[in-house]
Amino acid sequence: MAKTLRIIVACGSGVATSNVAAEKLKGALSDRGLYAEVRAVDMKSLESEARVADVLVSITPYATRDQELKIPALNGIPLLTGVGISALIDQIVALS
Amino acid sequence: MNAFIQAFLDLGTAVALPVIMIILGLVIGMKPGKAIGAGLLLGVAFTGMGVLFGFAFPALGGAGGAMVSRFPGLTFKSYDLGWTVASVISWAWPYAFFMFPLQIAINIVMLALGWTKCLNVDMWNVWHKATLGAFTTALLSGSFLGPNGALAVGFLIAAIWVVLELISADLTREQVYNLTRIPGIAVSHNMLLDAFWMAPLLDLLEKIPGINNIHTSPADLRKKLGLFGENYILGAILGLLFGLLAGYDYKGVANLVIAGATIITVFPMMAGLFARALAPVAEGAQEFMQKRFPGRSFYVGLDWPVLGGIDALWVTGILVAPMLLFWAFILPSSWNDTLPFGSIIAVSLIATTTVLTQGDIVKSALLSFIAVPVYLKAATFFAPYLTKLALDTGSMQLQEGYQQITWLEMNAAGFRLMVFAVLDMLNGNILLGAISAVALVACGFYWVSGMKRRENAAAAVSGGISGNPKPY
Repeated sequence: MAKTLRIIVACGSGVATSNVAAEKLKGALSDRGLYAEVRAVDMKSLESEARVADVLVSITPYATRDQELKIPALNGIPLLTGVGISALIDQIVALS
Repeated sequence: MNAFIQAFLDLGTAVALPVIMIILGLVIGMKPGKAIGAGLLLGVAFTGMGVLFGFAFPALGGAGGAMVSRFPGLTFKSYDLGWTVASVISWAWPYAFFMFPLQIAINIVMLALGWTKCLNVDMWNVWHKATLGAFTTALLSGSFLGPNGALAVGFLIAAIWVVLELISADLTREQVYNLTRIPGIAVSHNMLLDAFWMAPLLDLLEKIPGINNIHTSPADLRKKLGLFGENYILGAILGLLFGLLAGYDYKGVANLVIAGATIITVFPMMAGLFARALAPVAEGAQEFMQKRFPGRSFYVGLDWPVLGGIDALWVTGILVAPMLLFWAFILPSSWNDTLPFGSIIAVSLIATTTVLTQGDIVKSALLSFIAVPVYLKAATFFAPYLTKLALDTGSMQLQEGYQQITWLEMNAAGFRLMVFAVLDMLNGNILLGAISAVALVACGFYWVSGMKRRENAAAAVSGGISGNPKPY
């Protein structure tokens, strides 16, 4: 069995939006038969959090910081708007 | 039946909340196992918050008390524990969950009538409406309206807030798009309602000669400031500062450094558990709304974190932190008795100034400097209300000698103060209320026209969120 994918979902506080998005992502991934570890994090702590993660799903896309990290960064806005979720899941499945 | 309900309430909020959550979960069609899980998590978060209070109050309150006795003239009796604490307490208000259907119903009616283009799917911030309902009820319970009348006015104020949030989302859409370049969204958070009085103030500031020509590079500044953004570092710095001001010995200071870092790090984690437990409710509500308006053109209203990618936001936050302390220490206790702590990065203030100034750090910092006293006033004014709600719902036990809790980055603080001054007229306090009413009406007209002008300016730069560079 492949290693479990570690996904971090970042928002501005790591409290509300990122947790709601993380729960939604977990559900959408398990619907596709992919089990992943999904954690909500504070974007202010991204540097340290990214060291123990494989993928970043960011609710604050285009942040200059996303590009400095060593892991792929995906746009997490679809998790909030509901538009384009399956494309996002495809991207994550391709990474796993 | 009444005896049954009373017995249920006597169990305490930590038990009643999970039960309500489980029932609500089953009603919206969650599987029983998941609904029970969500309910339990809510109980865990609520209880965890209570445990933390027992740790945070002696640490912070002790330092605050020591500062007050060392420096005559200082009177801190309200402790700012940040918005995360306020949100958890607000869910314990018995009527909090009714704010979901209220917000959804108003949004659907306004979309159907064409009064807004915003479909607000941000169900987390329903808690703000709960605080408004609870605070209004508390303010007016002693008036001629009686407790039931006060509760009705509480719901009315919450309803007005929902309407204004949607209009505010419409009136900031282009400005948000110009900063984030995320298509199809708007920010429906009520913090942006403080544009009501900040927009005219900013118009005045922009008349200062040369102010429009100062250019800074937020991205570079953001990188240099880097580490300070992390919560526990800020908590440690505040612990050090307060420990020294309190005149503690080295051991006391060192312990307050660790305590400060702990409090500021762990409170948001508890609120995060709350968000996870409520996520299915939020999701269900979102799907319910989106199903009602398939294929219609609207903008999806979201919480403020979509602004988190803006470097100027965090740079302003770091600049505003010392301003909070400065004003808190020099304003007289009749104006402010709040010791800033948990809201030291005052997002609701800095996000509003960042959107209005379109990421201009100099203007954003200037506007914030003028606004901080308003936020301190609001934190001080509403501290007894939040404390009462916390005590009434059993969210915390107040210990002898430690006084009130509040949160400093109260959303739309100035606007909220004016609204409550108007409401206070029902208690017979006419003068301040009348002045506020006039100010609200004047600001309201200016708000709509001033924001439209700013929207056009933003759209001219970005090309417009809908491809129209001149929306108004």
